[in-house]
Amino acid sequence: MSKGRGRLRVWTWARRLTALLFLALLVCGTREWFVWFRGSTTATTLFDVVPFADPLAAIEIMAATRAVEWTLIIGAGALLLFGLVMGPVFCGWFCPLGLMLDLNGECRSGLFGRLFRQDRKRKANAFRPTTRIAILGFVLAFSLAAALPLFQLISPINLVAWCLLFFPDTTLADPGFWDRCAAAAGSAVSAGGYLLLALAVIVAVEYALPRIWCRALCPLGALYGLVGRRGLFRVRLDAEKLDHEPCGQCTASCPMGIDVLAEFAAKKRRSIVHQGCTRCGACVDVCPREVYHLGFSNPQRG
Amino acid sequence: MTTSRRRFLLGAAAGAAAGTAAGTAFRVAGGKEWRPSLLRPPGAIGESDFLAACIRCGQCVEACPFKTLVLAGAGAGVALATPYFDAEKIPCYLCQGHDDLKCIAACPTKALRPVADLRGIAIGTAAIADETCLAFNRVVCRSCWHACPLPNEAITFDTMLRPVVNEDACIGCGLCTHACPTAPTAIPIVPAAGGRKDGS
Repeated sequence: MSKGRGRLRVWTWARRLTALLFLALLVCGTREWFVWFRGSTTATTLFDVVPFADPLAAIEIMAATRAVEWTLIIGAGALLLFGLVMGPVFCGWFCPLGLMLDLNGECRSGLFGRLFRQDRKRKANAFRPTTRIAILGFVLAFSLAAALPLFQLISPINLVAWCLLFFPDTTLADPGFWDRCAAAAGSAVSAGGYLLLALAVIVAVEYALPRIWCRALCPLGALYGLVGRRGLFRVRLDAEKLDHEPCGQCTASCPMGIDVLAEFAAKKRRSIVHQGCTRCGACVDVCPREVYHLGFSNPQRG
Repeated sequence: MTTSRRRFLLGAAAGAAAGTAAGTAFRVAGGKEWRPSLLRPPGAIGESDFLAACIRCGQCVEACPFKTLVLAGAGAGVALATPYFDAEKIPCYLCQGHDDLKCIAACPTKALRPVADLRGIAIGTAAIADETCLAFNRVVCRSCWHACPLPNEAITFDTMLRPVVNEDACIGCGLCTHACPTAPTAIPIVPAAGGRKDGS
């Protein structure tokens, strides 16, 4: 079987397409003619009635206001329930920042692939649950103490969405399509201001420490990871196909820095139960022997 | 309990402790009350509560039929990505021709709350600049009065036919600001301290 290299990475592109469609939905929501969907990454409304809310944003708002808000509880509850069953798929399949960093990573490995290929062994590239949870604790406590939803102010996830959805001044009356595009981009940059520098830093640091934001910093990822750790939609192992010396490409491919092989070997499981696994399918796509698959049940064989 | 799990919980606790300390310090240093410097959508609660309650989703901006509302950019500090409007550009038309105030209906967090009627709105108060107002400079001009949604309540005239703002009645929609022929406007809106006429 020589299917590893050059094969279409089905899961990778499916997830990128999903994230792109989600972003398109958000952007369309800002248009007048698109009345079925409204909102941004923190809270949205479908068909004018069904609310969704970013669970972390909802908790922060309720902590900051010290009040129970049912719209937020319903909206965040729906997403948490989804995360409970599906795992932290928001990170892998919907997050606009995740999409940006993912595509940036693609450029990075295209440019410097060989240089960075073996860097997974480095400790700096491992998954860091403790810093993530510490930041989650920090932003929640800060929100409660300062009566401000701290992470919603500084979240680069929100920033990506705002710069695409709200900061471009579409009321500009410049003639010509390209003039208008340039003006809209200019207004997005000026409104994003110094915050865009922070985003640029995250992107730049990617080249030395890939996905450091997702692996080690993101409090939203920490929350979804905690809730969705045992989500049924998992990377599962076909034990019968595992009859070879491990090549380690799965571990090398994991954007979250999980030692995929060790997860299976040490814990003697047939599926990955790990709060860092975003169900992105990178390991599934890269495995030359097609040992893994993403799904709700382990393969049944007689 | 494994060491990794213990470290994980310790990390959470340490983060929470640091967050509590930093948050308290921020609140003490920054002052407990935030002063409004932006014109908020109608029905907005008081500025400090608003900054806590606004989830920064922009649904009010998307719902606004007149494209009045915009999200505040990076220069706004803690008010980043909260809705406001520039009355000189586009004032709040109070959803004329619509059955309700769309921004209030769109808000998922009660940062904007329903008002009984137009008179319950308190976005701010118009303030006339005597030096530039045409009527104060021997020109007959009633643009602000014509534009006002509450004429003869919020804006009246004195014996010299100069406009007078009744601060109790003015709701701060900015229609006068927008209608004023002077540039820059001779009747800007000063953002309200309380947000709503009922004081919540």
